[in-house]
Amino acid sequence: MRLVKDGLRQTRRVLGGLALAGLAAAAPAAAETLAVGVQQVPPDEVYIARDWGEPYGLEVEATQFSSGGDMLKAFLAGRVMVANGGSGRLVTLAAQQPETFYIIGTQQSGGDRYSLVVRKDSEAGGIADLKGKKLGVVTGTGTYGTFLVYLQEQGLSEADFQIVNMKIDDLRAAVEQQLVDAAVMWEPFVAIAEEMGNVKRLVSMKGVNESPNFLLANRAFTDENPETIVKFLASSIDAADFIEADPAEAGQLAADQIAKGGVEVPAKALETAFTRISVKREVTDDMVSELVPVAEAMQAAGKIGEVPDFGSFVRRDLYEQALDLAGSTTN
Amino acid sequence: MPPGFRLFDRVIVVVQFLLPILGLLLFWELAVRTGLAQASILPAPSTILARAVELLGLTGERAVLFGHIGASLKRALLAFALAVAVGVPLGFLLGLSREAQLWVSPILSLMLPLPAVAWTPILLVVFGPGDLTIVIVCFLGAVFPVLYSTMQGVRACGTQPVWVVRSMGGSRLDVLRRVLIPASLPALITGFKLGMAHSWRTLVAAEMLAALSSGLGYMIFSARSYMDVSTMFVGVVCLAAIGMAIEHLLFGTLERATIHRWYVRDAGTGGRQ
Repeated sequence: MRLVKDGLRQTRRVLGGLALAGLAAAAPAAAETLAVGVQQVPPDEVYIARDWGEPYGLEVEATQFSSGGDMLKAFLAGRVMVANGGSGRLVTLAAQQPETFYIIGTQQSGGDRYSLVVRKDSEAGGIADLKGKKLGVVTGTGTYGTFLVYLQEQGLSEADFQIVNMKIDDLRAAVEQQLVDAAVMWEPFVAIAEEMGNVKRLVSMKGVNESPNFLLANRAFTDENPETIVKFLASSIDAADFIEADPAEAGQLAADQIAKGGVEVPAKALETAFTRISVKREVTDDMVSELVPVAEAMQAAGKIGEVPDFGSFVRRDLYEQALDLAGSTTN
Repeated sequence: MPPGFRLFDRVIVVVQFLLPILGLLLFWELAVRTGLAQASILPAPSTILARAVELLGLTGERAVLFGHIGASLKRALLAFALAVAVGVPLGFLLGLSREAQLWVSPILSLMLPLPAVAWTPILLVVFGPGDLTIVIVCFLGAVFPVLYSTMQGVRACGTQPVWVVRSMGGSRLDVLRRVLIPASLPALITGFKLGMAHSWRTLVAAEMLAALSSGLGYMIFSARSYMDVSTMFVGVVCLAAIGMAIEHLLFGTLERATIHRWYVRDAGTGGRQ
């Protein structure tokens, strides 16, 4: 049965790839338009800095949102057809509005993008040295969830520390001012703080989990326009390949893009961030299974009724077609 | 008083106004330079000025700051103009008609305590991010001070001056032109000042949530997102300076051209002519 399924999938991939390669060859004549929601995060800055859709005849209308919540509101209102979201929001969406979306890929993932930072002059050599001390965190985020898993792995728990809930932008200053002894932060905040010179990375959460931000596509739009979503994914794979191949250039590109709005970020910090953020677009089984404990916790808290079948939301076929399309266009 | 002395007096007034601000800046600069305050958390005024010069394009870089200031001013002034267009006629109506007041007051009482920014998430869903949402939020911030001040101004006028003009054969338009508008002008201008101040303050929060790519609120929010502290302070200083400039230049000029001229003259002649 599994062999038959695999065979069918393979055939679909090849046919889809061939069809889309043909589309790509003829593409520039008639550009399709796709409304995409992005955030003020380095991988998205790289994506909007260049016209990655151009080789596929895809015109990407990117709208930059101030928060993931606002982006998902726009996504549900049908203003953008593609958005991205972390596990908490995704679980809520899957439980309450399962008919609205597909998971088509990941925007960023990897535990290495989460770190525990301390003041540069701190004598702490590891997490155990911080027992009983004040830790600045942003509760309710994927970063904090990952940190809790890390603590468990180390035989520790929240109760071993004084947890102080803060805003991400305030954590660096709080560590510098010794308002807290350490802080759990995510990229690019860690790299920027390191670049500013007053904090250092004590622990990386690499390997703890993947904690992906998923790329979501409007279900009705995807059903009607699968080729548009495939082209978007292909363009997104190209951007990811570029970041992985040359983090320094990607850092500079993102810094230049951010500077267009009058904001100055050291390109070096963004380069460092890109070496810690995984931008691979593929949704793995491990990533999907990470959603289950999140959903179970939300179910126990009465936030959702049932734990959704997350695998049913994932459209790997679209990713595979996009991979073929990206490859065929590059070659 | 000879013109030379008048100019000297004016200079003294300006210096007196600026002196405490300059003193504060000097103290701030010294605090950073002596290490009392950390530069990475509170940049020195000189650092902020240098960054502002860069953002203004004076060092050859792109002049992004003008774009942000222009976008913010456009939104705030448009919202304020709409608030005046709606608030002044409605204020006159409610000030003059007890029946209109009975009908509209409950709705106003319900709307007044709501902070304008609280509408942003709802408007974001309805209209999406962008200028329309921001202008509506700023309008909601500005319209109530204008409306209430106009109402108060009209009510404070009393009925006697109206009767006098009417008994002398004046039309309703005469009553409006010669009694109601001049009498309510001080309250109106106070309402305009408050309305513009509310529009300007609301703008920052609205731009942080709903601006797509421009505006001082957007710039501050973006800078915060990437820990660019100097740019954040440039945005904050711009907001304060422009807010102050609007109040002193725009409304100060308006006050001097109307209230000061008319009422000072009235004080000398015993009444408006």
